[in-house]
Amino acid sequence: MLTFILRRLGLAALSIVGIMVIVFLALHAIPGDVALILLDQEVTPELLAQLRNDLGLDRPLHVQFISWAAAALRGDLGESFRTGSDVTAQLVRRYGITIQLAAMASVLSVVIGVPTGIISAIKRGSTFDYASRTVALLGISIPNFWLGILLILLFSLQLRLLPTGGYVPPGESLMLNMQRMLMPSLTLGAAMAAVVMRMTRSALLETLAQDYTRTARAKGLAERYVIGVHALRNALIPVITIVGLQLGHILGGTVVVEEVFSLPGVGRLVVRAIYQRDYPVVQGGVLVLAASYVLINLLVDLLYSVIDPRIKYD
Amino acid sequence: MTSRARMFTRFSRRHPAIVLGLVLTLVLILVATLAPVISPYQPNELNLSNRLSPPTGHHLLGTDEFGRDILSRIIYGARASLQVGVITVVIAGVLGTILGVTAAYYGGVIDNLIMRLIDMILAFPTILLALVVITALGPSLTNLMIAMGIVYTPQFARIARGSALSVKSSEFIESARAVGAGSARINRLHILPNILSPLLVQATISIAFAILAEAALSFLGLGIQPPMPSWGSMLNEGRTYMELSAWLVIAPGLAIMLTVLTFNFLGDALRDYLDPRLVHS
Repeated sequence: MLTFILRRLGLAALSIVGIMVIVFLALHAIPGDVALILLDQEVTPELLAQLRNDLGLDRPLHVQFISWAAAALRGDLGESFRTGSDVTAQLVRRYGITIQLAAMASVLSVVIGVPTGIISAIKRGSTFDYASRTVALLGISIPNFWLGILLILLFSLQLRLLPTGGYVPPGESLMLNMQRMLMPSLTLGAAMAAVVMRMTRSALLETLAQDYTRTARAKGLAERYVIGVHALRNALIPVITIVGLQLGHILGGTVVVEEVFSLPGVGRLVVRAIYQRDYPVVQGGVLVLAASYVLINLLVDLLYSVIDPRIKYD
Repeated sequence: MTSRARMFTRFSRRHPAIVLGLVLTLVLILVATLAPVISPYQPNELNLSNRLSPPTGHHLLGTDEFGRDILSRIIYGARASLQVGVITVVIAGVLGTILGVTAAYYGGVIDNLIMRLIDMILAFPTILLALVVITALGPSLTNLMIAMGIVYTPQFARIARGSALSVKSSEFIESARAVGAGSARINRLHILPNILSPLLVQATISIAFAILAEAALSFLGLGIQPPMPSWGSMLNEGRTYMELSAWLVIAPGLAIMLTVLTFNFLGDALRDYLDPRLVHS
C-alpha cells in the first residue's frame, strides 16, 4: 500500500514538472519578442535591450526555466507584465472562488447524478428511466456556456429570482454567496451530473446481473440491502473513476463559466491575461489549475484503495 | 441484398439512433456545403435600419445588432464548426495513430518515451491546454485547429497503442514478418487496417468534443475571429442584447447542441455497429 502511494506521489510530481515544462516552453515559443509586445510601439534598441535584461529574456532558455521553476516551487510566480502586481497574490485571492465553484458543481452533480442513475437502473425501461436518460443525453451535449446564458435568461432576466452574476465572499454573506454561486455551479455541474448518472446506471445494471448479487438475493436478503451493500458498493468504483476524470473538465470548465457569470476566479483571470498578453499571469493561472487537476486525480486514485475491497485485501 | 447490407438493415431497425445520427450528419454536411446556395443573405451583410429584428418572414431567426441575418450566419457557422471539428480530428487522428502504433510496434524505450509525453499532455484539462497553445500561437482559425489537434492527440495515441499491441501478437503479423515484410509494410498493411474501428469511433466522438471546444473558445473570443460567423462568437455577441432579443442567444446555442448531439448519436451507434459482440447479438 505504501509503495502504491509513494509511486502515485512520484507520478504526480512528474506530471507537475511536465506541466511546468509545457507551460514554460509554449509561452516562450511565442512568435516575436515578448519585450516588443510589451512596449507595443517603436522603441530604441537600447530600451529594448534594457527591458529584455530586466525580464531576464536575454538568458539561455534552460536557465530561464530553472529560475522560473525554482521560484514557482517557492510560491513566487513573478509579476504581471501589465500591472506589475504579484501573480501569486492575485491567484491566491481568486483560487478560493474557482475551488468553491468546482466543489459546488461536483457535489451538485454527484447529488443529482448518483440517485438518478440508481433509480434509472432499478426501474430499467420505465418512463423515469427513459426521461432521465434523455435529459442526460441533452446534459452531455449542451454547451455549458449556453446553459449558463439560458439560466440567466430565465431566472435572472425573466423571473428576477437570482442575480445575473458577480461574487460575494461567503464571509460577507453566506446567503448572497450561495445565491450567486447556484447558477454557475448548476451550469458547470450539468454535464458531469449527466455523465455520473449514465455511469451509475450502467455500472449498477452490470453488478445487479452478477452472481454475487444473485447469491445475496438467494440468501433472502432484503432488496434494499442487496442493492445498497452488494451491488452499489461495487458499482461505485467506476463512478468514482468517472468523477475523478470529470473533475478535470470541471476545472477547465470554470474558465468559461466564470466568464459567463462574471465570477472573478482564476479562469477569468487567465482569459483576461490572454487578451492582454500578460504571460506571467497566464503561466501562473494555468499552472495552478493544471496542478490542482493532478492533485485531485491523485486523491481519487488514493480513494480507490478505500472504496475498492480488492485493493484493501491486497 | 448482400449479407453485410442485410446485417446493417437488421441493426438499424434495432438501433434507430444510427439512422438518426447518419441522417442528421448528412443534413449538417449538406447545410455546410451548400451554404452559399441555401443561405438567404450573405452572413456579413449589414442592414443597420433593421437591427435586432425579431424573427419575421424576411428573417426567419431575426437579425443581430448590425442587422445581419441570424439564419444565414448559423448556416455559415455550420461550415466553420464542421471544418474545425473534422480538421482537428484529422490532425489528432493522424498524429495519435502514428505515435500509438510506433509505441506499440517498437516497445521499450520508444514506447516509454512516447507514452510519458502523452501522459504529460493528458495531465492538462483539455481547454487549458488549448488556451496555452492559442496564447502561444495567437487566436486564429488555423491556430485553433492546431491547438485542438494537439489537445486530442493523446486519446487517439492511447487507443491506437492499445489496439496495435493486441494485433501485434497475432499470428498473421508473425507470418508477415516470416515472409520478409518490413516494419513500414507491416504497420501500413497489417496493423493499421485492423485497428481502424476503435479509431473511427473515437474520431466521431472527438468531432463532437472539438465542435464544443471550438464554440467555447470562440465564445471567449479566442477561437474564430469576427467577422467570420461562428456559433460560439454569435452567442458571446448576443449576450449583451439578450434581455430584449433572446433569439440572438437561442439559435446559435441550439445549433451547437444539435450538432454535438448528432455526433454523439453517430459515435454511440458506430460503436455498437462495429462491436462484433453487439452486431451478432
